[in-house]
Amino acid sequence: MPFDASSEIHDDALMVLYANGDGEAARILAARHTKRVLALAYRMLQNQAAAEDVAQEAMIRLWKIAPEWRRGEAKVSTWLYRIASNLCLDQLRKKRGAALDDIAEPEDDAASVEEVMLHKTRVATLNEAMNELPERQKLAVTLRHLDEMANPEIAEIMDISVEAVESLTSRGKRTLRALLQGQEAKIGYGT
Amino acid sequence: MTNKLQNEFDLDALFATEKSDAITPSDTFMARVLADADEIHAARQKLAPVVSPTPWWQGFVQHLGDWQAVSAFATCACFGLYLGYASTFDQVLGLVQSQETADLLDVRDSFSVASEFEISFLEG
Repeated sequence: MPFDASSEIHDDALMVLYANGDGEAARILAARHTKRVLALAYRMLQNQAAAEDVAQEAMIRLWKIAPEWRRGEAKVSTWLYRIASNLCLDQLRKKRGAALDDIAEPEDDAASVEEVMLHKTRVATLNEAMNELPERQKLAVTLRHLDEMANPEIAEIMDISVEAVESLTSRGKRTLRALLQGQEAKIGYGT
Repeated sequence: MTNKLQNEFDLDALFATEKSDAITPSDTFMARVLADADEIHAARQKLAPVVSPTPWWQGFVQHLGDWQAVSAFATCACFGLYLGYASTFDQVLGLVQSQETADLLDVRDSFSVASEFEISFLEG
C-alpha cells in the first residue's frame, strides 16, 4: 500500500486491512494514534515509562479487537482514548496515597537559558496542580484543554453525559486556579 | 489582560505552554508497538482453523437433509424430465383407447334421454 494513498484511508478500513494481515495498515494506525495516546497517558501519569506502558497496552487491545471491529460504531481514536483513560485512572487509583514527593520531578536541562527554565517551571507547576485534582476531573481537564477535544467526544470517552463533562472541567479549572493562586510570580505571570 | 493575570490565574496561557511540551514517542517505542501488532496477528493466524473448501454436492445434500431426501428428489426430477419430453399425457399413461372411452359415454345420447324426460313431464 503506497503511503500517499494510505493517508486518505479511513481508520475503519485500516482496521479491516490489519485484521487481514496488512502490516502497513498497522503502521499507519500506530503513526496516527500512538502519539496522542502516549501524550494523554504522560499528562495523566507524569511518568514516561508508565505512560509508555499504558499507550502500549491500549494499542495491544486495538490490535486484538481488529477482527471484531464494527465499522461506524465508534471512532478508533475515541475507543483508544477510552481504553487509555481507564488504564490511567486505574494507575492513579493504585498510586493514591503515595506521597507527592514520589512523583518524579521533570529533569532540568543543563542549559541555563532563562526562557527554558521558565518554561519548565510553568509546566512543572501546572503538572503539580493537576496532580492535586481528583482523577476524573484531571482526565476531563486534560482531554478538554490539553488534547483539545470537544465535550461530546470526552463524554463518549468517559462514558458520562456532556453536562457531566462540563461540570467536571469547570470544577477542575476552578480548583486549578485556587491551587495556582499566589504562584504567579514564580512562573512569570502577574506582578 | 494584565488585570486578568493579576487577579485570576491565566490557565489558558499555562495550558498552551504545556501543550508545546507534549511528549513524542521514541522510535524504540514505536517499534515495540508495531512488533506487538505483528505478534498478535501471527498468533491469530496460528489459532485460526484451516478451512478446506467443501464440494458443492456436499452442501446440497446437507441442505436437503439426508440421502433419502436426495434420492426422492432425484426420482422426482427424473419423472419430471420424462413428463417434459413425452408428447402427450395419454402417451405417458398408455391410454391410447381414449376414443373408445368417448364412444362408451355418448354425450348426445344423454341429451336425448333428458329431453324425452322433459316432454313426458310436461304432458303429465
